[in-house]
Amino acid sequence: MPTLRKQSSTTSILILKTGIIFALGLAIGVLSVVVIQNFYPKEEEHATQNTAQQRVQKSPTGSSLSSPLEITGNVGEFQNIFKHRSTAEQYTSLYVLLSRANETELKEWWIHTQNIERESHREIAQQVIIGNLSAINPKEALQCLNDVSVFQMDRLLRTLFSEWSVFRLEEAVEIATTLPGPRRIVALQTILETRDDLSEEQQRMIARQLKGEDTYLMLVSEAKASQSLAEPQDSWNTLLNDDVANYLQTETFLTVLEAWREQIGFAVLSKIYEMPLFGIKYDLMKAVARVNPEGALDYTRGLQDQKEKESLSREIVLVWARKDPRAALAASLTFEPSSIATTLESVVALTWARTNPIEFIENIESISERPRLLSLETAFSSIARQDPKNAIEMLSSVERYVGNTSSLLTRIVNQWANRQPDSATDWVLNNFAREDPQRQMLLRGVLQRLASQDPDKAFELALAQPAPSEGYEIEFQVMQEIILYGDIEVAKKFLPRVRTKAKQSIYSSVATELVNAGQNNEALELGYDLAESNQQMYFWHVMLLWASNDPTDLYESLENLQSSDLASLAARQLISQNRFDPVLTDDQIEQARTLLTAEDEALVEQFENR
Amino acid sequence: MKRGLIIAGTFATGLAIGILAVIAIQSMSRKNEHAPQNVTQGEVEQSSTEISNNLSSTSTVGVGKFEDIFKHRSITEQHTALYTSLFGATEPQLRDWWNQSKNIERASHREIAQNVILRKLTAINAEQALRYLDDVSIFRIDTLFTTVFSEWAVSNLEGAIEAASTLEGLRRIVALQAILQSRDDLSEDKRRLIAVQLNDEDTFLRMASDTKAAHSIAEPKEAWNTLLNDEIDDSQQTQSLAIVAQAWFAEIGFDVLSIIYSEIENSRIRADLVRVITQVDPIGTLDYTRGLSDSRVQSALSYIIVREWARTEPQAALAAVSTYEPPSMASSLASTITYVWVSAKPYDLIKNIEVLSKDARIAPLEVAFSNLARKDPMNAIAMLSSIENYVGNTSTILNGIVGAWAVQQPDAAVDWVLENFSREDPQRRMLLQDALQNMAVQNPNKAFELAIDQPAPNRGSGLEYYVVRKLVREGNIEQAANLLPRVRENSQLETYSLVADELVEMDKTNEAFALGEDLDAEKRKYFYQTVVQNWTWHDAKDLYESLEELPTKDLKSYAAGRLIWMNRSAPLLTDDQIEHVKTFLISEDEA
Repeated sequence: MPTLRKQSSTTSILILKTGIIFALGLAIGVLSVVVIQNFYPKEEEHATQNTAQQRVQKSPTGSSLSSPLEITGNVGEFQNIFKHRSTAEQYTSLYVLLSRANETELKEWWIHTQNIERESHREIAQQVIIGNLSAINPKEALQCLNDVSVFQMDRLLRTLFSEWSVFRLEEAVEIATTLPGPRRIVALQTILETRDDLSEEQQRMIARQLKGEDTYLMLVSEAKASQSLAEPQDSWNTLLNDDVANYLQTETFLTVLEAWREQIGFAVLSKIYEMPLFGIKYDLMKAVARVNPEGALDYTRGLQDQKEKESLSREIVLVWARKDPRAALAASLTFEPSSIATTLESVVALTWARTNPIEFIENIESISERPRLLSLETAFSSIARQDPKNAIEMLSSVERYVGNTSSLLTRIVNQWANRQPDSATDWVLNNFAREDPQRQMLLRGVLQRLASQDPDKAFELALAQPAPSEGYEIEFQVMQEIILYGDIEVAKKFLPRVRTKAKQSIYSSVATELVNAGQNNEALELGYDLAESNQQMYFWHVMLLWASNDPTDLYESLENLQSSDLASLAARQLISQNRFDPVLTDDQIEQARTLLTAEDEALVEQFENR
Repeated sequence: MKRGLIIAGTFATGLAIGILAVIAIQSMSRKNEHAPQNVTQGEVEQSSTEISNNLSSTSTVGVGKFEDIFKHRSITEQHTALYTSLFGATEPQLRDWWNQSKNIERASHREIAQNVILRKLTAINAEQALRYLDDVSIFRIDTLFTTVFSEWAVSNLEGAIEAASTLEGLRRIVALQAILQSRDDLSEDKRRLIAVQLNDEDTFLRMASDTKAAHSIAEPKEAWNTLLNDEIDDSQQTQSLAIVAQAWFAEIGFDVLSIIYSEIENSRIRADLVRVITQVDPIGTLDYTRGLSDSRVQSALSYIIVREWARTEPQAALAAVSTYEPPSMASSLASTITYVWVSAKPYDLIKNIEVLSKDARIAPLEVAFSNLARKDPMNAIAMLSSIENYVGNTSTILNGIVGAWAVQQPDAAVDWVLENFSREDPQRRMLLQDALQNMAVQNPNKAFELAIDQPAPNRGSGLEYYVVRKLVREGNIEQAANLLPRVRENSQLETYSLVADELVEMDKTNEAFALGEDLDAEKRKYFYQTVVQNWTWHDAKDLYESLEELPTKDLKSYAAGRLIWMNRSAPLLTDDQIEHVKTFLISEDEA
């Protein structure tokens, strides 16, 4: 049986060899995997000197990223953080990571944020860094804000001051006082909102310290309005009756309106209409209309009160026309009654003309005849601001729609003259004959504007124009401009040369300025330059003003007036003025009465017996 | 060869099994390490705790245990604790957190908690997160909408857009803004498409313009022009304009005010921007306007400035304007400041009344006390004694109090006057003058009876004149005319004239003339003259055409004189027409 034994031994050796080879393969397989994993890292893994090896785990989003709770990284290495798509995870990572950072590291992180290209990521990073830094050294955090765009400043200022105010309230308030106005208000708001654990009195004191009591009152009012928001009418009344000016609370009013609109729909427009909301009423109407102008306009169709209907629908189409003038126009034309429809069409036309003048001109035939001219004036005026000559050229395109384009030309030229009075004047003089009535019309406007730049030239050109058959001479406009907005001494220099029709009115205007400046006697003296028939009215005007501005001074001047007629006129004005504004004593009034002529005495009695 | 194949095969098998075994073992150990969704919070905390031991100041807490989170004073630590605690939370857990957050009493803490919870929940179930916003005050909702949609936009953009499209009004705008802001990785075209899809391209354009302006803010002029010349109405960009204006102010100083004036046409926006600059430096802002040569600009700017300044420091503003030139302007600005002061802080003004010059005290005190009287008239009356030394005579102030009281409670106000002032007291008459007018709105007959019950003055009109006047102003002409026959003699001329004036304004000149038939001859003459006078100003051309029809020669002459006189200052009639008018003059009027 030696063969069997030999066969058995051979088999064992074979099995052993097979096992060894198998084990060798197994070991090499295991080792090769380990070697490959350790010496050729995967994309998410870092092997740096300073950081521990990250354990790769699947995040809830399914990507192979570090868990936000386990995040580590070198200062400034934001890529790990923003590999998370979810902003929640980004915030988690940042808060966790930066909670371990000291001041120096935080400042370094801050510097690195400047390299984050994507703005939304940069904002998130900066917010968390500032929050952390503010907890350690808020003054340093404030310094960091110098690097930030002014558009981002407020948001980060809020983060900073909310943190600052919990640890070092007094210091936060003190620093806030050093900030420029608008930022001080942001800081104050933040402090008050964060420290809602303080008493009302403490909050008010902080507000006073930061010269922002309005801000405090607004927050109180808003909080009160917020509590009653289940009944928006109550919130509305809270805002109306508080001690804060309505215009400062426009946003809050809008918020309440939003809640109210959800309850009662566009009927909220009627609520706005009823309220005495000086200054913001129409802003609120427009804001509601902006949401759904078509729906808002449809609401107004059913209103009974015609004044309300007109007022609301006007505001709605005004807003609508900015966005979609054609739709607004179509809706306006179907409005009832037709009187309001006409008004609405005008509103649409004017708005369209203002916001998109060229498109409007191209579509002028869609506007009915009545509002065409006025709205075209607006359109051309708008174009003329940029390019008056082009505006003039475009006039021919609308001739068949309006017939006479002279008023359009006037608007264009006046607009031109606002910026370039010399050029506009020259153009008129070069393009219209002396006898052309349109030249006069145009020159009234341009010379008035030229007067503010070059009063001498404007006046001379005005005088050179023939006197019109109706109305004042052109120098009237020139002189009014000089008197009201220029130099009164220049106006006085020109006075003797002013022609007849304009004289009375111009002298009165000069007199007004002189009396307002306290130069009463000089004003009186001027009157003697007028024809005698015009002096009476002139002196009446001067005395009326003098008695109104400074009755005591007029009373004291009574005896020094040039004539008894003047004294009587003055006395008469003093007596009538004193009835409404009793500055003079009864004795003084009686004394003034003694200066009245018989005629003036009768007039006074008549007045007093009324 | 066969042997070699067997060896190779055996080796390869061992190799393959070795590799697979390592991978399988590693995979199993990863599963054990990663906490699945339905693992209890305790297990999560156990793994989190190890990490959080490394966190310096935060810790994870049980669901809804906000007291542990808000025991940290630092806002940042509160956030860290919240984010850590909520990490890995399931949707039901987040719902529990949310429900508990509603019980947080302190609003600032509640807001922090809810913001983080919603952000987390949105990542898991955005629709549910949106539904939770129904629980939130509308004053806070915009902030949370922004949070929800910022998160939603990154995890499921299409879903976010679809959800935003179901929103209305301001909320849709807020949602769109949040989407566009958080998805600043998308191309401009794509972002514009989103805005168009949400029917609000304006928001995209506005944000694009703001971004462009922000990028050029180092050159504020460029940023300014970007905002002015874009396709967005300036009223939608006031905030951005204000930011740029402040930046520009930092660069060029107060000249920015002139730029604002000349380049912003909308007066409301202009005022907002000037206010912002004023807030930075009110003294400097006002001083800048002193040097302006154009009085229109000077006036426009200085009034805005002092109105803003007066809100915070009325006394400082008053001191500053006292040296303003010209003096008329100084006086006018001071009045403006006082008005703002008294409107905002009537008590404060009353307490500090001595800072105003003596002749400027009465008017603001009248306003202040009237304001106080609206809420508590009796208290306002009681306070009068505190300012007597500063003004002497408080009678006009009391008039204001009673007047304000009468607007709301005319009966009570009138009764108080009747009880506290004797019939002969002239102040009773003054006080009733306003109070009865307010009563007339609600009860004209009672007001009229009380009016004619008061003694008629020696000079001036009886109180019934004021009652009738109120009715006329309220448009109740018919009631006013009905009361006329009972008006006392010495009040007849002016009361009849009052009603006649209104009829002339309504182009009812014949009816106006007809009223005169109640009057005696002497009064009727003056009455007709009054009608003609009013007619001259209301419609001179119509009077011109009606000259022939006037009842008497004297009246025609009077009318002609009025027309000639009026035409000197407002030449509506031609020279020929004036010549024709002159033919109606009788000799004494001609002189």
